[in-house]
Amino acid sequence: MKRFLTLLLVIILISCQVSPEENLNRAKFLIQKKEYKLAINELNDAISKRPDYAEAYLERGKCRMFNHDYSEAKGDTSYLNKMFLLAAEDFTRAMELNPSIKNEALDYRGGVYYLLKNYKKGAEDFESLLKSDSTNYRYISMLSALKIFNKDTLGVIKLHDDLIKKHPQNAELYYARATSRLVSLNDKKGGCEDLLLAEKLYNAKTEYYNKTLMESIKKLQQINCNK
Amino acid sequence: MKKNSQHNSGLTRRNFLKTASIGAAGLSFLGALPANVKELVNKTYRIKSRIVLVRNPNVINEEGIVDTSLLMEMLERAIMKYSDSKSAAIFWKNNFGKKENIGLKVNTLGLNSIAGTTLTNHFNAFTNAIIESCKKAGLPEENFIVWDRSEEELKSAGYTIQKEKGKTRVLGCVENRRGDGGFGYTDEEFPVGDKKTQLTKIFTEMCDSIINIPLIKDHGTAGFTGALKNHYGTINNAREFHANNCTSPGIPEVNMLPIIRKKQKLIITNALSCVFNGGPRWDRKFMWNYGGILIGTDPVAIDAVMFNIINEKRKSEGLSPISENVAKHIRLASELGLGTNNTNEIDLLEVNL
Repeated sequence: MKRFLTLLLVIILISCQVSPEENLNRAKFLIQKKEYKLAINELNDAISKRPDYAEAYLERGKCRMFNHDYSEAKGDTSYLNKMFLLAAEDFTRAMELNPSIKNEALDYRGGVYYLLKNYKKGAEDFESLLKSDSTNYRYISMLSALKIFNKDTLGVIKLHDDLIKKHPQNAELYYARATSRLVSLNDKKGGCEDLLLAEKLYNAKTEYYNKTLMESIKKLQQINCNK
Repeated sequence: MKKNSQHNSGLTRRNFLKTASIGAAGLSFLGALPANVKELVNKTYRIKSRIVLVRNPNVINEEGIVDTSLLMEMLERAIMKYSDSKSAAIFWKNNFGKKENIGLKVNTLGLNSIAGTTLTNHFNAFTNAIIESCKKAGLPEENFIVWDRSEEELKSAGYTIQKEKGKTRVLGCVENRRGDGGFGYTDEEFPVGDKKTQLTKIFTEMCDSIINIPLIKDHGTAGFTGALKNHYGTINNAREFHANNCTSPGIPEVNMLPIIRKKQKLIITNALSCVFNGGPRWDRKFMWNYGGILIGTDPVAIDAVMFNIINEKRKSEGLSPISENVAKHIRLASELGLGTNNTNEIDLLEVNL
């Protein structure tokens, strides 16, 4: 009888327990409401129930990255960095557990490394991402910036050179190289040549966003190229 | 499942991005300008405000008759998309408690010209759909309170006032526009900029949480009325907050009240029938059946999306768009940190059923 009651109790407890999916679902709603601390609690719960729950690690990493409520820091000035390190660990774990979310996790981890001023590791993440999507301008932009912070200005130009070789008709890449040349290397001649090429390529397009980009090309030309 | 063909005058994601921003974000992705990297990181790595828009113009006909089964399907699809849930019931069950008293704040202002006709049917149909969907998740219907500023206005929308416990209640803060009777307002005065206001006791005492159910309407003073302005029906002295397009102080400050921020759990816009001109009064010649539902938690983002919807409609009718300088409460609310009106920070997910 005792064993039966114990078994019954266990069954009741299990049936009352929130599933890890429900925890994740709740966490996502809390994240939308920017209640990151509460979301982390839900995600901790999900992970304790299912330690290989990749999506929960990914979301927890984001919460740790965005949570600006430092009430638990209690004077610990390195608290923020600790949170970012934990976020990076979460992103790593997420991509190890589920390769289909690797790119999203790499993207966030690259961003966290930037926040941690670990420019080398951040650059490695965006290099990996560019292998699968070589015209993603945000990746290019982040990688360029991380390289510059890492004092690798020539690496930036090489990055753009390589990408332009792959996509010679891509105006945005010339624009990106132009800004690097103008700002980082003070190479006005090279920068203005790139702007001219970008302008020509943009001229062939009529899309709204390209018109907007054209305005910024013109602006850079006015400042740097006596145009 | 009813299917519908493409909607010609729909707000597409592309149009939304086009009309609402001038590509600064696109530019920020280009060029390795170290000075911009912090901004880039801040812009890139943030949780976007998710807004789901589900549309099917067949959900409501010219007489205002609502296809309730299609409406339910649209609502549940919207909830599922919004929450990445396998069913709407999972979302309701996970985020609303069985003992939670949930207020449904509707907007029944300015219905005189169509009161008593089928053109108001969508009000009841919409709140019923939400309650029915929640019931499937085990949330008792007696926990719901449909409420607005006055009983008189609720009646004009086709609601029957229902004060008894044990079933869904339908309550007005006051009985009529003169402010007689009703449940009244708090004794406590809440600061709104340099002014003060009192909140309805329906909201402060009877509801544990609320679902804001705005409409998409033109508004003579505020330019546009959506989720943010809907809380003028929560306070006792809305008339005092109409200066300077409802912003001196006004809509943003009312929405900043901590109790409103805390209790407002969800926003579900009834965009079945909308008013593109002459608002806030409903006038047959300025009404249009948009056949939509929008869901979100960010009141600024949802208003920004709805603002574009109404301006697209005005454009198609040959009217000038409502100026952002008139509907400036949206921008000001964003600046106060209530949410975002930046399209790059809004994840607009559209579903056409």
